[in-house]
Amino acid sequence: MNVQRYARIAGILFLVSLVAGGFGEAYVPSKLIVSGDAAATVANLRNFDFLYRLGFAGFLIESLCDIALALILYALLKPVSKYLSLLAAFFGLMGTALFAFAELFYFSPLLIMRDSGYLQTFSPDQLNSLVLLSLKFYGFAGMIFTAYYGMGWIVRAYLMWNSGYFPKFLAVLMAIGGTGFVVRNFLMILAPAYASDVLLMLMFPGGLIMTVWLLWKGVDVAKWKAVSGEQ
Amino acid sequence: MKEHEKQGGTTMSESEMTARFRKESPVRQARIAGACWLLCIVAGVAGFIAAGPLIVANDAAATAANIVAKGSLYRLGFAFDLISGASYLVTTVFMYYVLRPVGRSLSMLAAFFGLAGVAIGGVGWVLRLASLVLLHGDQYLSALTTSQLQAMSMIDLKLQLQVFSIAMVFFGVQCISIGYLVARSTFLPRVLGILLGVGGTSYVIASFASFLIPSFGPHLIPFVFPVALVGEGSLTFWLLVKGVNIQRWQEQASAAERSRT
Repeated sequence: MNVQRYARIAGILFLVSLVAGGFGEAYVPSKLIVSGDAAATVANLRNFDFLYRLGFAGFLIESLCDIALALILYALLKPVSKYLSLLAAFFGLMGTALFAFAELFYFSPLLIMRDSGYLQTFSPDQLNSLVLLSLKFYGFAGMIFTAYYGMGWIVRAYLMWNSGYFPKFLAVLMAIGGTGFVVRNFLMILAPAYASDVLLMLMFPGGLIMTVWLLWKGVDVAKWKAVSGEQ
Repeated sequence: MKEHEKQGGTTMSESEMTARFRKESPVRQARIAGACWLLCIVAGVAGFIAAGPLIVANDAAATAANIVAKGSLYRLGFAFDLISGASYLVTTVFMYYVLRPVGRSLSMLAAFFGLAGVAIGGVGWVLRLASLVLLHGDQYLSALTTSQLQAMSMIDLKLQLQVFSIAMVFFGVQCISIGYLVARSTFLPRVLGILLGVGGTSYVIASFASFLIPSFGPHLIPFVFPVALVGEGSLTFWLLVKGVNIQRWQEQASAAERSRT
């Protein structure tokens, strides 16, 4: 296998997933969802319908990249440990599958707001409440994804540290990012007051530098060959 | 194994470092699989003990009152679920590694059934969180009456049980596959495979019964769990305490490698 090409593809996928995910899963929801105000949220969704749908498209692109990335990172880290890299891929797939389920709750307001005849048994206020309720479910459900996504990165960071063909500082940064994701999830469950968004931001330095590194440097091919036994 | 011989000698220190991983004995992998399986069972049971008693059958108001009053227990149950799911994924991958010499494709299939089961189970965790959102008493929910919100929460809890039944079909098939591989292996006692296969079959039967004959299905549950626990528990403890017979594992692994080439 041409390992350098794998690394470049991983870099591109990582970049696209950060941009599309950041747009669809962070920027758009933060712009349109008004916490605690159902009527204002519904008004936003009506006025910025296309932006809302673009957000959903952003998620779809992000998760497509995530699945491909899970496989490519598995291939890149397999020489270090076959089964631990498989475990990281499984954590990644699990996270993406659960996030897709969460996105169902992001999409369902579009059905609730459609003024269909069968919904007339609910008052407009009730329908607004159901819209915001669905978006709250979305927020909570998406959180579970962060735990598994984070666990996947902790395992990968461990493999990168031991690989010899990835720089150790990158492994440390990704471990910090992954730990932030896991810790935030458990705090959100057990002590919501301490579940700061800053914990999610810990992924950004690692993610950004990792992307640049994969695109610019790739992996250390000589060391990769020594470890994987490929000529 | 073949990769070993081809190893280049350019950067020996790096190769030595990673050789540490390659040479890891199957016993260690088996112990990790056993330990995580045990953790999964313990966390699963703990989650049930923490949150289960809060649910009063068919009484939405009493259930809601319990969840609100004992919110931290309910949240703790959820945290246990997450730990249980994560440790089961670790078990799934390490069992794949341990059983690969017996059947490469079947052990991969078992692992994929495990992955699907945990992902489906995750949907149940989301539904569990839904009750917390519904019963949080937020202002934006005032358009709905308290009893409506409580009823919605009850529906979510009931759906969660159905999701569990769906996931059990996948776990059941995984257990049957692993049981078959254990029984066919030379490095683990055959009886452990048979017990696990029986446990897995009882999961599948109980799930199908709960969907097809709802009046009868739930009555199977008290019989299913002991059977499954014997199957999973005995393999778990064997893996944890004894691991696998290294010599026979290596024999079966190299025989499988030879027949592949």
